Amino acid sequence: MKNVRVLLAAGVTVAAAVTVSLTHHVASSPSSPRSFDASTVSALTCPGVSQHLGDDLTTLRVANVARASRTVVGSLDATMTTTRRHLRAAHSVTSALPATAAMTTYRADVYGGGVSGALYGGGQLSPCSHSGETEWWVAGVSTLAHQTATLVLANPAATPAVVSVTAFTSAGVLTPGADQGLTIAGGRSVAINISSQIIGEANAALNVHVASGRIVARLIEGTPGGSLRGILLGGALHRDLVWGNVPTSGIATINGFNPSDHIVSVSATVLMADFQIAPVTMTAYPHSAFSLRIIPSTGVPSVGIAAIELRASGPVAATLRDGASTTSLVASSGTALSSGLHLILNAAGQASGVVQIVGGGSVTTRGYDGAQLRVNGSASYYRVRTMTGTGFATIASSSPIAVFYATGAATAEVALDGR
Amino acid sequence: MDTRAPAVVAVVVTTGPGPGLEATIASLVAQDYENLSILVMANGDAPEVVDRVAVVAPNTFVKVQETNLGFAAACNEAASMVSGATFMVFCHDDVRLQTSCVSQMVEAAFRQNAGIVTPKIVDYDDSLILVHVGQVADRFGSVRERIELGEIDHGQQDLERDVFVAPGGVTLVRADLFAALRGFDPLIPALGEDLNFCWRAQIAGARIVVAPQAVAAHRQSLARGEREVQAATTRGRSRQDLQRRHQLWTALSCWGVRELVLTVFLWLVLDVVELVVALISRDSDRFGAIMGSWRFAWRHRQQLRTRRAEIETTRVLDDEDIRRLQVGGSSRVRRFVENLVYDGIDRAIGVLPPHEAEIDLSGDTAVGFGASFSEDESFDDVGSTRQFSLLQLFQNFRSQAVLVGAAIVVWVIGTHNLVATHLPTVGRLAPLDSWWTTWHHFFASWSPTGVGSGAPGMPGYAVLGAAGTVVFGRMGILPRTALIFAIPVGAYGIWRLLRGVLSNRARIIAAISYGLLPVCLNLISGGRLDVLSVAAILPFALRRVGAILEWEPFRGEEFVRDSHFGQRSFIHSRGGQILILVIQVAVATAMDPAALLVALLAIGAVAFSARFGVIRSGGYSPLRLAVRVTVAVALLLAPLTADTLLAGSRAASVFGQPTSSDGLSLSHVLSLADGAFGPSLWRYLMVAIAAVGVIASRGPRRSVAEVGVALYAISVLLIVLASHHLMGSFAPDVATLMTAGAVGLAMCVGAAVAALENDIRGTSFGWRQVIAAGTVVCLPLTVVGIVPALSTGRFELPLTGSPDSLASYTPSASGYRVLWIGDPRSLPIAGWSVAPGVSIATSTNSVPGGSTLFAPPLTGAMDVVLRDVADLAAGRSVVVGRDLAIAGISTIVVMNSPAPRIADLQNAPLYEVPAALMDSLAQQRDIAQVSRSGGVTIWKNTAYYGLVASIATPLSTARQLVPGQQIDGTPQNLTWGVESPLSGSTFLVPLAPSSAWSLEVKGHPLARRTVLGWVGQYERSGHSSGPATLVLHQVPLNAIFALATLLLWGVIGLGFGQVERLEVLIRARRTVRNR
Repeated sequence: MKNVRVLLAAGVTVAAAVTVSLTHHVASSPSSPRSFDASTVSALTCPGVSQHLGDDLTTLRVANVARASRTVVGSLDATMTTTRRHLRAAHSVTSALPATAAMTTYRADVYGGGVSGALYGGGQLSPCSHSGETEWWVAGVSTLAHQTATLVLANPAATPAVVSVTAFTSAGVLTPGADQGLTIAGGRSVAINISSQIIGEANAALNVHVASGRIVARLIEGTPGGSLRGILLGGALHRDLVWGNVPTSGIATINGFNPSDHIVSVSATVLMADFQIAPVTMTAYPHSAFSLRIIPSTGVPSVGIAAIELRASGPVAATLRDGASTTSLVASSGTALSSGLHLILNAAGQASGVVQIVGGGSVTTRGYDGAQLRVNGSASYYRVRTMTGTGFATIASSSPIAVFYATGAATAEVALDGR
Repeated sequence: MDTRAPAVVAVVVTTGPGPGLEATIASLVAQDYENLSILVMANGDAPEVVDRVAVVAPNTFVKVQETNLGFAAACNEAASMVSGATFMVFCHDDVRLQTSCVSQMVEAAFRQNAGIVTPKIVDYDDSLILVHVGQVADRFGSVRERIELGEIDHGQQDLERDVFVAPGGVTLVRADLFAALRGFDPLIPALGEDLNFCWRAQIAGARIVVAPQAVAAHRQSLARGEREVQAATTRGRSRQDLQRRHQLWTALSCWGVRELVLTVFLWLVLDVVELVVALISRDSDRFGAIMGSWRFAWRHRQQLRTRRAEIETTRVLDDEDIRRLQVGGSSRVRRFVENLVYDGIDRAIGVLPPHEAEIDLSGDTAVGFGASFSEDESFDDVGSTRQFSLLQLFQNFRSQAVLVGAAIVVWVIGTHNLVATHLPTVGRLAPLDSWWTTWHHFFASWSPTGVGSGAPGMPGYAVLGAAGTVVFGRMGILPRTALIFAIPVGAYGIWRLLRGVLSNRARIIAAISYGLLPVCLNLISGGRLDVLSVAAILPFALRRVGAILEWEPFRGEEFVRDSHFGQRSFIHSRGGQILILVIQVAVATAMDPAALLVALLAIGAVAFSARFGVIRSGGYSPLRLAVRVTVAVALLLAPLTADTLLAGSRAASVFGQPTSSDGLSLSHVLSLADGAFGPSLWRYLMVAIAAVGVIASRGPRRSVAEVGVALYAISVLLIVLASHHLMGSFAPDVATLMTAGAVGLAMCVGAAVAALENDIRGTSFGWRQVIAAGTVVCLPLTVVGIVPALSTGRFELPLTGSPDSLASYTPSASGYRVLWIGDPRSLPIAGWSVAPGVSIATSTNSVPGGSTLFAPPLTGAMDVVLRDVADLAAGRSVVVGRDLAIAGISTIVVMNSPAPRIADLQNAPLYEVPAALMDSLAQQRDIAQVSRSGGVTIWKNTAYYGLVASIATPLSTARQLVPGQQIDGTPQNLTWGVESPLSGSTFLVPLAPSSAWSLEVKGHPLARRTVLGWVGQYERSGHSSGPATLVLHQVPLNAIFALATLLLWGVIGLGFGQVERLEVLIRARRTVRNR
């Protein structure tokens, strides 16, 4: 035994090294989180500011969700003038942006990070983006006679972005020449009148491919008279999407697009407080659009609020159009089943909303600007409330702002009254 | 007619006791030649010579020379005393002539018309054994016998023939020839006077013949070493000294101009090679003899000219004719190669073995002389029954030499493209500055590292400067030399490390395996010159550690006691050995600070084995040694120590920066492969063979394996802990730790081979034999892993580095900085850590160069940039360009690999920075990506406004810019020390520390404030118009510090005998003065 002491010690040392190597997972550097959340976001890019369509997005609300005060320095595309706002922790501020003829983008630099913002106008809400994308999809684009569609592409960074826009229509794939290899200079944005390029489409899909750099994209829908009808946030392709706060008294249709080479099976489920209907399935063919009318449905009560969940066997782009009638359908992009921070802002007055938790997990709500929240009509006021399980919760806020933070595999979809 | 035989005078030169003198005189008296006179020249004070000669030959004249000026001078003196003689016979005092010797020589002289005749010289004790039958020489004056050593005389040499040299002993010379040649050369008192005289005789057209009918016996007491050369001018000189210088003198005197040029050139080449051999074999005598020979020729150059002129007056044969009389090639080289091939390296370099090797005939079927008469029926079959055993493979010296030669050839093939092709800027291969500038960096009061620093110069510059001095300032040679020779030197170190413990075969295989390990090859492919110094030095240091600790396997000779610093014997004392160890570790640490840790690891490994291992030994406290080494190295590298102590919380980063764990899986760690040469089956075989050494070895071989496995195990553990960031900011350089592990592995491989030779052999068949067979099969397979790497001739060192193509992305105007971001293993420049796997560094005005080879742990104002990059990495900023522009950073280079990955051309390992960092960079408002290819992304800072800029509005003294505040600057082309025009009234100069700088107009400094915490802001009033100069005002404390450090090194150098030599010199001069 004596003769092997050294060898044993060496063996134990190597074994310790092997054990550490196999069992200890090297976390990402704590100073460099792999994904951003609002607690650290340092930039806001808010495309679509204009009065081009009347009642457009011209109001900005910015909330400081960090624990310390922050300074926000913002500017519009078209002007070099910057505005500097100082935000106290857990407070927000509303600004009226100057009216611009052309659709432009508002940018804000947050010194220290931890700020969220959104543009308001015409009853619509367009949350600002804190980071750009390299691939952007949107489905359910309608350019029927009474609708306009403007694609706003904003370059959030200094690196020139080179993009190409492709439209998938009933007539096939369109690649408008002017939209190929389009260079968007650093800090600038461009507005593309899609409705002049794809005419009379009820359910078109758009893809913006970024060859270099990044972009933040929005599709702004309007009426020929110049009113803002809707904002499609678009984004990446997903297998699972959720839309919440859908009134079951009206019409709800999912318009989607399958960009892959394979057949994708799509199913939609209506979730209500006490039950859910059996999934409605259909087949989405390669490179084809699909449309699935969910509401009205014989199995769905005609009164109430529902969440609609879409599941696909492959990544798809999808948009929900719902409204009281076919002439008043408004599109909304769904929310992926993932955790994240959702910020709901309102320009004025009180806000209330509905939280739906799907897929398990929990949702924590927190009020800002001194807001007090009332959940499910309870008499108690909570500044912070965590809800778990599956189902609905209504939240009323005494102040214009509420923040909903979902953890785990749950998600929350909150909408303002009447959006 | 009276026909008397020509008069012959026999001159006998005797020196000292000359025990054979009587026999010599008696043999001359007994000669049958009728007209022979004898003259005895007694060299030096020898009063009894007269009496001794009188007893044997009363009529013989004895001339006593008061001063012994040597054989040649005595002969010349004798010749001057003699007149009328036709021939003279010059004899040593230890010869014995046969009765007819003189007459035969005279007859031969007449018959052959020879000027010089030499007899057949036989052994003094056995007349059947031939000693000389004349001699031949080559162009270098190396004399060769015409016969084999110990050749028996059967009459095979009984033919009168011409020879080139008549060897001393008994030589008949025509008196007129002797006079014409002015006798022997007095500058050659002995050992070579015969060659010199004969060569001159040949030039004069005289024939030199050997008369075999004349026989003389020669004791050769001088050649045998029975007595020393005692001539006055040769005191203190060894025989080797004298032979060499006399040979050189003769060749320089006798050759004509054309042959002289060629001969000198070849001689220099041979001497350089022999100097290298002498250095390697630590043969100081040989070294001194070679240098002494040239020194002698240079000191007597005047006499040389005179001699050459004299020879020209007697010249009859030209050089071409002389060449025909000589043998070709070099006898010296031929003798060396013969000894090397047949008798081994020791005999070749002149080391006599302590005893003759015993021939073990047990079980052997070799046939000895006696067996020739064997009655064994199988006698005739003896040779055919000789069986081959694997154990005999590479057992003898010749086969080992072939193995080593093959390894050298493989290495040459693998590195041939490193000799002349462009070295990329990867690792630490940034182009070195000139020799003078490199030294300047060590003494400088300010360095451009980071955003500028007044920290003491890094000692690595002193090491590079000293190395540059050796190569006469050709700094470009140093990186190539390190790349090509560091690993072979380390392999040689492994061979020496295992001396006395393992067989030569095992040592050679261990040394070769060291060079095959992926970590060593990755050091070359990664351009890690810093760690290559550790790879070269560590094996030598480890051996010394073992000797100091008196660990039995490495214990050398007893340490000299009672020896003090400064004495010549100090080097053989324990203190001297510790000091040498300190020097070795200090040199390696200057280049790679983690080397100190590795040295302490080595001490720990040896101490652990000595305490708990198979062979318990040790007489010196390892803790004490570790403390002494650490303190001494800290003192010798005082500037680095000061930097480290001042660095505070960053002090631990001096040993290395935390890397990302990407690409460093367990398999990489265990096979010590992190780089272009990753883990593979062939490399795992090496680990497996090392494991065999650990398991199967016994005795001292087990001790070696214990140290090796301890070193390997500790290294592996530290690598894992460091790569998993479990030691905080203490993250020793992974490559350095792997190098330590490589030494351990190589030791274990050597132990494995030794175990096959000793410990497994003879045991009954079992698992040992199975693993032995596996080891034998696997050993040659380990070479397979290196074969693909040979094709590039650069061991996968990239052809081009990222900085090489940066010029097109940097401002054309002077004055900018480049920010390098990446994993520490990717950066081509030493930097500082922001987060694990993210380090940064800056270079000014160009690609990384000699001024930024080393990054002091003290960051100073660079903290600002570190904070900016930390904010960037955490996504807390989108305007990092504005913040970096303050430091004059125009370009950001993010490196995900050490060199661009170019398909089909070069493939560098991938060490990606965190994805969040790249995301954050993509979202910055004021930096634009301009290039992304092959693992390198380049960003242009759109907010950059020049390194020195004028601004419209002076900044406040706030430490940070206000959110949204932008600096609108105009670049100014201002260089340190050069007067340049400036436009504007307020200037920003981001050179830290700001207090060290001033902006002067006509010698008057502008008003300065420090803004943003570290940037100098200068304001020009209306009175100070005109061009300005940027001036550095810094008390040269760094220079004083550096000088003190160099003085300390100098004092250390005196410790190894220089003090004693100085004392001797001073005493000698005092004595001369007093006389």
